[in-house]
This record gives sequence, structure tokens and C-alpha cells, in this order.
Amino acid sequence: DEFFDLKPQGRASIDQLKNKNGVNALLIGVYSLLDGVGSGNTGRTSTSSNYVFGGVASDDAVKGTDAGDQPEQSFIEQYNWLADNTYFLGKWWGMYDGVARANEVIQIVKSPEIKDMTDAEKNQVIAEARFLRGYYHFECKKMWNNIPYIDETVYVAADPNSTKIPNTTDAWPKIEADFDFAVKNLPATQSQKGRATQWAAKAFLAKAYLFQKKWAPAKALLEDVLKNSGKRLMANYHENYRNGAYNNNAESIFEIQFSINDGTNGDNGNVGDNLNWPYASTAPGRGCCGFYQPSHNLVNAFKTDANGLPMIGSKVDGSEDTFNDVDLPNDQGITASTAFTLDKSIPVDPRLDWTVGRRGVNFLDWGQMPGSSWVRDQTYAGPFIGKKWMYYLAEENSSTHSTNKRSTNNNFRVIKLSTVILWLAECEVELGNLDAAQDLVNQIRNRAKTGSVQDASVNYKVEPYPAGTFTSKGADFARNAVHMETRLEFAMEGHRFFDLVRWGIAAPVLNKYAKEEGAPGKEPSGRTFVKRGYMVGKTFTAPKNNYFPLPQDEILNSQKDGKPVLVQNPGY
Amino acid sequence: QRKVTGKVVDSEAQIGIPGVTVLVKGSSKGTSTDANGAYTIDIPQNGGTIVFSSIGYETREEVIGNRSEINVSLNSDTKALNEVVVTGYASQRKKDITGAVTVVGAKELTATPTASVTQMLQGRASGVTVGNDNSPGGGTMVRIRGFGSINNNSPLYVIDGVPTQGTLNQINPNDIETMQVLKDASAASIYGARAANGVVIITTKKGKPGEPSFTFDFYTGTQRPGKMLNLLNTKELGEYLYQADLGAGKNPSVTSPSVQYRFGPNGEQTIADYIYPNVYGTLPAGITYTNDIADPNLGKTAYNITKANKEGTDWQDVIFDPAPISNFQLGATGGSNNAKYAISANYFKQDGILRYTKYNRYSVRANTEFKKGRFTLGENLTVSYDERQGITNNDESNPIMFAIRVHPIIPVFDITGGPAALGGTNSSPYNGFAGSKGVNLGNAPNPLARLYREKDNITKGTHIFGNVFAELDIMPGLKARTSLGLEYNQYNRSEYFHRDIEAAEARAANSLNVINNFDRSLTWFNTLNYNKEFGAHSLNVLVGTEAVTTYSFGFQANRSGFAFDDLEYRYLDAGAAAGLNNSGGGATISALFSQFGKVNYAFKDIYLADFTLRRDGSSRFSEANRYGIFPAFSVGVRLSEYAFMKELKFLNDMKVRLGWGKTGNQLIPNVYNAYTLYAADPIRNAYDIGGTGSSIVGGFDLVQFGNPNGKWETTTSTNLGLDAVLFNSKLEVVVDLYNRVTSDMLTQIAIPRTSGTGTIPFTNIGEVQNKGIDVGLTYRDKIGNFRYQVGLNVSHYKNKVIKLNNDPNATIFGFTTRLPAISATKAGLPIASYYGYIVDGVIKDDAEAAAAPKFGTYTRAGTFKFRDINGDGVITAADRTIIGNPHPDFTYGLNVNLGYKNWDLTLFAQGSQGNEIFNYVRYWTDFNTFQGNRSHEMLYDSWKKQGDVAKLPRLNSGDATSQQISSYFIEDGSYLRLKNVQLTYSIPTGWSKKVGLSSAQIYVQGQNMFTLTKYTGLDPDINLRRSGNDNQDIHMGIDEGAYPVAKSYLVGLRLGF
Repeated sequence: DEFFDLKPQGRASIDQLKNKNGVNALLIGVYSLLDGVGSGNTGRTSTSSNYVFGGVASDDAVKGTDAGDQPEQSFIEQYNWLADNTYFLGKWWGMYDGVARANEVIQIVKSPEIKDMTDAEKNQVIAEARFLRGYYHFECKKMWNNIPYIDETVYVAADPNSTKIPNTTDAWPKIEADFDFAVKNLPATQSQKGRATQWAAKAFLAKAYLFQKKWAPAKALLEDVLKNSGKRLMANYHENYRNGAYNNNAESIFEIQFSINDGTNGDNGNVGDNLNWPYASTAPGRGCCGFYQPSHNLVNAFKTDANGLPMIGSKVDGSEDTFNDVDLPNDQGITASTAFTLDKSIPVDPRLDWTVGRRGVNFLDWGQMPGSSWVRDQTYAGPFIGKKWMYYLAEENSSTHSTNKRSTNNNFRVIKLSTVILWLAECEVELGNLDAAQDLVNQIRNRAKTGSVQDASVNYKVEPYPAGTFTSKGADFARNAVHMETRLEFAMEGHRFFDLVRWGIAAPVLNKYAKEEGAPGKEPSGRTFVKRGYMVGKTFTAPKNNYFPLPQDEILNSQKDGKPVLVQNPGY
Repeated sequence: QRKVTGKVVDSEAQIGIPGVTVLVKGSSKGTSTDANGAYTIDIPQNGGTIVFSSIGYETREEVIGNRSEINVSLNSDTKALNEVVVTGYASQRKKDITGAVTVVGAKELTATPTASVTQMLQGRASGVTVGNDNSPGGGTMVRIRGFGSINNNSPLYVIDGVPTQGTLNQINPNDIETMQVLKDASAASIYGARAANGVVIITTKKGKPGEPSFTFDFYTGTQRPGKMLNLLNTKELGEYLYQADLGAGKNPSVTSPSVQYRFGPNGEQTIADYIYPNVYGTLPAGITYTNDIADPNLGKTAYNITKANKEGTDWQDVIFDPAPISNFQLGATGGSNNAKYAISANYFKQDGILRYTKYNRYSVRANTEFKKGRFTLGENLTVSYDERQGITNNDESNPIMFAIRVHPIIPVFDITGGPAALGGTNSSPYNGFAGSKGVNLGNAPNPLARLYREKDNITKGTHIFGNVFAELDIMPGLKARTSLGLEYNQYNRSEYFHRDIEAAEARAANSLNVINNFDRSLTWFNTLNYNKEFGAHSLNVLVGTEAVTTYSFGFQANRSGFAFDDLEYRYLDAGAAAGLNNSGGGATISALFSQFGKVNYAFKDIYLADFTLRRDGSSRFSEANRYGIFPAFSVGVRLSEYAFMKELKFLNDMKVRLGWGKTGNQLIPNVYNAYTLYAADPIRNAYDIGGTGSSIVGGFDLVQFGNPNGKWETTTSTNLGLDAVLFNSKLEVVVDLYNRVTSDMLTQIAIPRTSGTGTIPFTNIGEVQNKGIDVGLTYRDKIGNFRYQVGLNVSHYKNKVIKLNNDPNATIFGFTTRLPAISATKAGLPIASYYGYIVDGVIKDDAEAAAAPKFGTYTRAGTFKFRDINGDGVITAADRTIIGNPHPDFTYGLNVNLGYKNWDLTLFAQGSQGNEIFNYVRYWTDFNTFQGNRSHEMLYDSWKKQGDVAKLPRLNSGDATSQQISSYFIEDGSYLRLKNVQLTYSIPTGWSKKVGLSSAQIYVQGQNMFTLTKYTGLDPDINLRRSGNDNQDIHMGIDEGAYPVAKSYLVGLRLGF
């Protein structure tokens, strides 16, 4: 039988991994899925930026590109959510693969056969793995709400059917438990910047409380982070969206690491977002695809009134907001070869031009954005392009992969101190401390006011709320103001849809958005133009659409004794 | 000593018989006839007797006397059917075969010149289906009696005793003597664990005793593209864009759907004069030309300036061109009774009809055999080297799909007319093409540019295939044989990818990818064969052992950022180090060890029986499940030997056969299926944990779940056959009924991905059934000098998945494209059934729309009416269902040979009936998919107004729903193809002798002259097209824009001297 004794080549068995090196490598494997890429599906469906689910599904962005491209993204954009849409499946695969890898390392590190690690070392591995397991489950929880929570007591490496457990038990307690363990067992700082710290765990635990409206414990954790983590706001808003020295900056609490020119074909850069680049080869990314374009609604949200304040009303669901009544002037319907002068006199928040590329305004150091030639199909998808993940021309080679300029090492900052500040503001509003909330919001607005601007020729105007505004206008106004500030500060970062749902205002906001984005636009000059006509009649139905449908294939594949253990979300 | 010459002809057909052994009785002097049946032999002065013998003919003796020319005619030996064929590790008289075996002779096989051995089988043998990717040197795929497994359904090939499961491209078809297809278990089970998909036994040409005889074969010809798709021209595409914008509720005269077109209020069309930059009228001053993709002014003041083609470029015409094909073969055979040889050299050269695709093969074969006393030593060896250039896929990113998608307004070249080699003036040898750069020109690259720039990306293969054998006659009737076989393949491919300045989604950097693969397989078998006749009984006993080991290894590396594009510069070291990337995969190793035995017994010629037993062990399974035992038996009764049958004068021979047996299949794509494995992978599991931005730390993750309980797939087959020869041996009939059940099918049952993304293990749970009937009929006769033969074979199988696992709803989906999976494999249905929505036409008016089930907000007048399968009133994913079947009702081949004196006309037609094709090309041409060119039908046959009964939905540039996978894409794939017409003239021997030739034939041939089909795609013969990879049968029948078959016109010459 020696003749048949042929061991697999180039692969390892579980026994080979039961040592310090093996455990550390498996833990790296858990981290490596934070970017959403590498679990066998296309990265764009499971990318950490959640640009489809958090962005395109919300009022921040439209799908972009042309009508026929990636129709399944169009279905998500237009609330036609079918359980067999491969985007849902891709996200599920990516996140649960992360869960499986976390369970794998937790099981192995607990093995008594590992002799070359101290208990403290083992404990830290478990803490990092549980942090990541909590993170991946959290991603699933906000997508689908009813999810199975897979931990190391359920998972059996050699048996892929071991994880067939129901999704009928609320996952929040277990997500909290994982983050709580991480809080208690992770160090405050780590020598390797990519690793989770105690502060990251606290922020995520607070986020879990926030999603459950557990305001008081959330507040306590957020205050702790704000006061004791040593993090500070960067002087300039834009420094959260630059790479190089700005990666892992003083504001960043948890950040997903991207690397380029590392011996792969750029696969460890932000390739999950590699369709989200301008169409022209004279633009960052050197030409492709044109997905994920900011909506008119988002651009209009950055308009400020004469006092430099957002144009919002006092209704929580935004129904009294006025920013979208008239559109900010833009080049919709005007081709790049046709002369165009942008009316820059209307006051806008400077964060607009760090978030959105628009014709006539500087685009980082690439010169002015030239309009429709950078857009794949302006008549379909509008005149704007996203900007936060773009790189500077001067940094083209240092920050992009050599063969693929659409793979960059501009890290994705999942949680920043600014996030913590606005979450804390949210807690303060809900706990009735409107002045405290306003102070927090004003910290963010003041940074926007004093930071660098993209294009001095634009009339930027942003001011803090005058003292007592929140108190005098009441809690609903304060809520709306915090929501608005959150939207502006983190626009195009993939959080918007999930925020709308957790605020309970997804249906009114999105139905209003669909109606207005589908209708013709109107500028102050009286010029009218066509917006996204295809959004006419698209309806967001609550509560059904508050969560996505579980992937059809996963329900089919969860059969046990002829019956699926997973239950589809209501309405699908 | 003197010479005798002459010709041996078939007594009925009156045409020369090649390969007849001509011997002087009682001596070792001998020769064999050439292709025309002519021979020359040295005879002793004292004369004697010449013996003429040939398989399939009655032996004839002629006393020489003082004659110097002896012409004889041989009677065909149809009654006796004494032909001996190789059916396992031994040979057997054809008439004694009791299993289901089809023998295909050299003449039929080489009638249609092809590059590949397996392609020659198409339409020739009942029960055998052949698919091929029509590209030069491309793969072929053979399926015998349906589809027994959702894994690998390729048969085992045994060439001169050496087994292989490769593509056989390295074998020169002209070297083949015969092919035997072993279709049922009773015939094939001697090959045990690898025989479940049938076995094709290939015997190459061996030497024959006699003077050296030389042959020279040559043909050359041209191949021409056939049907093209009817797509829109520039003006029509403008009209389409206009209407589609109107349909989306826009006003195209205000919001132009495309910058190259301007529309008046009533749709009046103006087309831009330049598309890059986009200019109406003359080019403004200050615009310069560039072919440098890194030019900072590119797209601002510098352009690869491109004029609009206002009439429209016919891209399909641009990429398809007539192409030459030629074949040269020189061979020599001869020897004595103690030493025989057959050697040949071949050069085959085929250019593809798709420009810049080609295949060249150089091969040498040497078969020799030496005999002294009781000992025989011999070898069979082929060494070949081939070069293949061309597209390597049949999916959406091949040049054919690009030609279908690219806009007609784009000319082939920019204003420079292209690179100098293509007649232009561009300063660069690789630039000057026009493309989709600009706005609203789609993203399909210029297909000619792709083909031209990648013309030097060649796959080079070196192949050695052969064996050495020795045989010892231990005692009368007892023989020992040993054979050591080797298969060795090495491939090298250098792929260079240019920057393409003109493309919308341009490659910003050039890059080089080098791939090296190596595999080898060693087979050693030993047999002992005992043959004995006693009285009316005859017995043949075979026992043996066989050991097989395989090893394969691949390496790949790439770099980018080459300073120059020159051919001489395309080596890895010349690229920038920053883009360095390489991968080595793991090696694949496997081993197989077997013991086998076989007994053939015959009583008189009336009762025949075979028993076979084989035990196989495979490294692909864990120790506990390593061995499998595969028994089989078959029995035959020659009814025509019974007295009551003998009274039936029209009946010459009749035999009924019954066979049963088990065969195995171990060819799961994963040789390490038994193991749960972890791997390091810089993409899957490495991470920049240090936050450096430019380096990664390696990780590990579980990449494969193992199944230690996996064991053989077993196919149990039962065969009932009838062989009959009727009407003075004019009609031969072979009918076989069979039932094949594959149990313990190794199936990858989808797992919940909550357990991670490791490869799913193969588990023995599925069961698939194939039932069918194979019919072969041959009728031959002559009327005066006119002779004819008609052969027809018809095959039918019915494929059904009995179960996949214990869950009746378990489904295995085919691959996904841009849409969810197109095919589904599920219990109760044939493998790879199409799966999607059913479309009940286009909704003709508002009233119908109001009543129709709603698909979100899509449904209205002029949209597809999707069927509400579950009756819940709305269209959801739950309404997807089975929408078609890729399996044919039957396939058939028709061979007609007509002869008159020296003229021969051969017709060969072949076809398939009742199969359906999923025409995925229509996803691109008939719907609003990207900005591509569209079909004529989409513009003209779409819904326009209330009441229209239309084929396609209303034009709407916002529509992303109509192109859902639906029954719209399903088409009848039936076809009848006239595969071959050949007219041959044999030059009378008297004439050819004058120029020193013993024989000469010339022929003209037309291949694929016409195809009758309703299929609207380029070519209906796509069923088995994705043949290159394992596990592809679960999505057969999907046309992704595959390489179409060419019409070929050839002239050929066969000389013997």
C-alpha cells in the first residue's frame, strides 16, 4: 500500500497547523476577509464598503454606469429584491466565511496539543478572533436581521453540515458577548496597526447597543472611547480619505488594511470597489465601469442656508427638509464638449467636494472634473462621481497597483472618532441631553468649517448650530440634525441604508427620494433637466424592505431532514 | 527471381483493396497492396502459389505459372466475419463479440480530414456523441450512451494498449488503423474502474511483411465562414438608441442617448463625423494624434483620432476570413515475418477562420515489432510537437462576442489606418486601431485589435506517447505479454497583453504571463493468455495486472510594465519587478493498481459467453474504500445456426446478445477528495496586518472539506443486442437496447456557506439513469458497374437523474454568468436542464397588462409576460422552473458511398434532433445589456404600440428586467449537417505505373457544405462545446458565442510507390 500512499501536495492538514505559526496564520486568514475579497465569490458583492447595500440601496447613490450593466444591482437600487439575487448570496458567503475562519482558529487555539503558546497568547488570539466573529455576524445582522449565529460550539471543521442551525434566535446577545469578550481581553494598543484593539471592540459593542437602542450603555462606552482612547479628530476632514501617511491616522479606530504591489495582482487592494471608478482613462483608476454615482439628492443635501446650516426641518423622517426642492446647478444633459460654467455661488458644505466629483470643480490634483467624459452614461446615471476612495495624480504609482490602477491602498476606515462623536450625539438626543448632543455635532461641523477645502472658487459655507438651537427646536429637530450630520459626514461610506433602517425612517425617506430622483430636476436659474426617470414608481415597503431577503440558495442548502432550517424574512 | 505485379479488387465493388497481404506460399516473401490495391512481389524462378489474404475477405490462392501480372478479386467474407478486433488486453473475432462494440475502420475515419482523432468519430458510431470547439487545435469531447455522471463523462482511450483520458490532439489521425468503441459494461469492464463512460480502443497502423511500400498523402484547401448574425448598422443603431430612450420616457432630441448621434424632434438623425474626439463637422484646430496611452493630454487635446463609420463596420466580416488548411504525410511500411515496421511523418497546418488563430502539428510515429522464435519485442511510439494560437475560451470575453457587441460606428482603424503590417501608417506596430474609447461606445474592445495583438501568444506542446512490449509464447496457446506505456505532455504558453489605447476599459499596463504545465503517466501491465480449442469447444482465458501512476505540475508567473512591446523583449525578466506575481499550484498525483481476468467460451459457433472480473485500487479514495470489484458477463446465441432458421434463405447470419456488468468511474475532479485541507494563498487569506500598504502577511484557511468515505461510482449496465446479416449479405443490422444506471455517483451536494467556502467534497449519493437504443444499418449492392453502399446509424438515449441525495429538492446549479445559473440538475430531470422563467410572449396591450402577474414595477403593455408558476399573483424567484432540455431525442449519421468504375462519391451527413440550445448570445444582442450593438430583430420585431403581437419587448433604455433567464433564450437546436462530400478518382494503374507510382488517387472534398437548422445562432453544434474542463456537462448546451464551424473545400492526393 506504499504505492497508494500519496499525500496531498502543497496543502496542509489540520495537525500541521496546531502550533503558534499555524494559529497565527489562521488568524491572519480571519482578518483577510475584512476587505470582503477572497472567499471565492466576487468581491463587489461582499466588499467592506457595502456600497451596494448601504449606498446604492439608499438615497446616497445610484447604481451608475449604464442601464444594462449588472442588472442585479439595478434590482437592489430599485427595491426589486429577489432572494436569488447573487449580491445577497455573495455578501452571505463573504461574511460567513469570516465567521467560519474565526471559529476554526478558536477551536484550534484551544487544542491542548499546542505547546508553544502561553495562555495569554492564546487568549489574545481568541479575543481577536471573537472580535472578528462579532464583526462578521454584525454585518449579517444588519443585512438580514434573522440570522444564524455560528460559534465554535456549533462549527465542526470536517463537517460542512454542522452549521445548519435555525435563524430564529436573536443574534444580538451573542454579538454583544463576542465584543464584550474582546473588550475585556484585547490590549489598548497593538504593535501591528491592522489588529483589533480594546477601543475598536468598545466602539463595536457600542454600535451593537445603538442598533438596539440601548442608549445608556452605548453612551458609557462611547464616552470612554472619546475621552480615554487617545484618538483625536484630524485637522482636515479629507485626511480620513487619503492614503499613504494618512492611513491608520489619529482619528481612526478600526480600519481595513489594503496593500498593493505585494506580490499579488493587486488582489489585496480595495478591489471590492473596483467597478467604482470614472469611465475615462484620463481619470483616477484609468478608466472603467463607472458604478456607484452620487445622487442629486445627496449633492443637494450639502447645500447650506444663509447661516451655513443644513436645510432641514423638524420632522424626524425628513419630510420637512427643503434641500431637495431646488437642485444644485450641475451639468446634467450637457456633454463634456459643450461649454459649461458652473454656478458656484450657491453656498455648500465643503465636505461636498471631498465626497462628490462634479464638473467645474477641482478633482483632487487632477484638474477640474471635465463632466460627461468621465461618466459612462450621464443620461442614465447622472453627472456625479464618487470621490472618497480616489487617489491623487501625484500619488498614482505610490498608492495604486502597478498593473491595475483601480486597486489602491487607501484603507477603509470603518469606525473613526468622528463616528463615535456622532453616535454619542445620537445617545444624548435620545437620553434628552440636547445641548450635549449639539456640542458633539458642532465639533464635527467646526472641523468641516476650519479644514482644508477642495476648490477655493466654490462658495463654501458651514457653521456650527448657534447655541441652544437643538433645545429650542426640540428633540425631533435634534434627531433630524444628528441624522443629517451623520449623512453628510459619512456620505458614500456604505452606512446610510442601515442607518435609515435603524432610525426607523427608511420607508418615508426612500419613497420620497425615489419620487424626487425620478422627477425632472430644476435649478435656481430655472433650467430643468432629466434626473433618474427609472426611479419613478419604485416603492420601498416597510417593514419588508427594512431587511434583505436571505439568499435563496442558502435556505435550500440548509435542509435538515427534508426541511430547511433557515426561515426566509417576512414578505419575501 | 522475377517480379509479379497486379491488383486486388473487391469482387462486388470492383475497387482496389488496400492492405491485402500477398505471400508466396511456403516462403517468407511477402508484401501488401497499396491504397489502390496494387502490388508487386518478387517470386522464385520456379513459380509457386501466391496467397492473398485480408481481414473481411475470403483468402484466395493463385498458381503463378508463367504469368507476370496477376489480378484477382476477393469475395468479402461477410458470412464468416472473421475480422479480428482488439477488445481488451487481447483480441477477438468480430463475429464472436457478445458485448456492444462498434468498429470503425480507417477508411471511414480518415474520410473527413480533421485535426483530431476523436473528431473523426462524429456520426460514425451509434451511441457515440462528439462535440468539438471548432477552433484550430481546440478540444473535443466524446460521450458514449448519454451522461452517466455529473462529473467526468469522458471515455477511456486505449491507444495500442496504453490508456489515456486526454484530448488526443497529439495523435495524428492518419496513423489510425481502427477504432473500437466498447459501449456496454460487458465489453468494457475489463478496464474496470475507468470504463464507466465506455472505452475507445485505438490501434495504430502496423507494418506488414513485404517490400517497403511508401505512401504520400496530401490535401490542401480553404475553410470559409458560414452564417453570421444579422446586427444593426450605424444608422439603425442610432434609430434603436432613439427609440429606446423614448421608451424610457426621455426626450432624445434633448437628452441625446448617445453623443455620436443627434436627433431632431421627430427622430431625424445626424451622425458625428469623428467619434474620438466626438466632433460633428471638421476637426477643430489644436487636436493632435497620439498612440501613447500615457500621454497626459490624452482625451484633452490628444486623441487616437477616429472617424465615424457612418455606413457601419461589419465586425463579423472583419474577424472571419477564409483560411487555408493543409496536411502532408509520408509513410513507409514493410518488413518480414521476423521484423515489421511502419513509420510515418506528418505535418498538419490549419489556420482558423477567425483571423490569427491557427494550429500546427509535427508528428512522427514509429511502430516496430521483432520476432525470434517464441519471443516478440516491439514498440509503438509517437512524438509530436504542436503550436496553437488563438482564443482559449468560448465565453463572453472572446473576440467573437466582442465582434457581436462592438458598435458599427467604430471603424476598424483610426485615421492612421492601423499598424504598417496591416496597411496603415501608424508609427507603432501594434497601434492604430479604432475602439470604444470615447463616450457611449460600449465597452467591447476592437476584436481585430485583440486578435492581432495576441497573435504571438502561442501554446507550445510536446507530447510523447507510446509503449514497449514483449511477448513470449510459453507453449502452444499460452502467451505472456508485458507492456510499459508512457504518456508525457509538456505545455508552455507565453501570453503577452498589450496596452490598448483605443479601448474604453483600456489596459493601462502591458503584461506577460508565462504558464508551464507538465504531466506524465506510466502504465505497466502484464497478461497471461491461454487459447485452446477442444472439439466443439473453444476457450480463451486472460489474467493480468496493471499499475498506473500519474503526476502533473503547473507553474505560472507574470510581470507587467515592459518598456517595449517587441516580440524579442517578451521575457519575464524584462518586466517591472513591481508587477511580479507567480504561482505554482500543487502537484496532482494519483495511482491505480488492478488485477483482472477474462474467460471467453464458445461452443461450435452457436453459443458464446464472456466472463470478466476486475479489481481496482485507487489512491483517490481512502484506504478503507480503496478497492472496487467490477464483474461482467455476456452471452450470445447464433440463431442462424439453428435448423429452423436455416430455412430462412434471406437470413445469412443472426445473433442475439445479452450482457450485464458493472464498471467504475473514479474521475472526480479532485484527486485529494478524502482529505480536509488548509492552504496558504496570498489572495484568499493573506492580509496587510502591519498596515504597511505594500506587503502582506501570509495566512491559512480551510480550502477543502474532505470525504474519507468516498468510493467508486459504479455503473451497472444491461445490454440486449441483435446482429443480423440479410439478403445475400447485402443488409447488415445491429440493434442494441441498453439500460445504464450509475449509482453511488460522486456528487458535490451544495453545503450551507455558514460553514465557510471550502471546496465541497464529493459524496457517493447520486444516481443517474440512461436508457437507450442504438441502431446501425448498412446496405450494399451493385447494379452493373454502379456500386453503392448506404449506412445509417441512429442513437437515442433518455437521461434522468434518479436522485442527488436523499432530499428530492437538492439541486446542482450550472455556472453563473452575469445572471443566476442557467441550468439545474435535479432528481427526476435530465442532467443540466435549463432553469429560469417562462415567458408567455409580449403583453400586447394595457388590458392584457392589467391581468398579467406583476414582476415588480416592470410589467406593463409591451413587456414580457412572465408566467406565475406558483400562482401567488406576482413574479418572484420562486417562479423559476425548468424551461428546456439540452439532450436530443436522437442523433444520427448517414453514410452513402457511390462508385462507378474509377470514380467514387462519398456523402456523409450527421445530425441531432430535439435538443434545445440556450442562446446566451441573445442576452447581449436582444436586450438592453451594456451599450452594445443589437440584433436586427430587437429593432424591428419589438413591441411598438398597443395591440402589437411582438417577439421582443418594447425598447426601453432603462430596462434591466427583460433579460432575466427565461424561455425566450431557448431554441430548437436540431440540425442536419452535410458533413462531407468527397469525389475520388483512382488513376488507372497502367497510367500511374508510367510515372513510377504503384497507385494514385486524387479527390475533391467539401465539408460542412450546408446545415439545416432552425437555430439562429452561429452554429447549432454547440452541445458539448465547453469540453476543456472537468465537470462541464452540468451546463451543456449554452451558446456563449462559440467558434462556428467552417465550410471547407479541399483537394487531396494519395500516392503509393
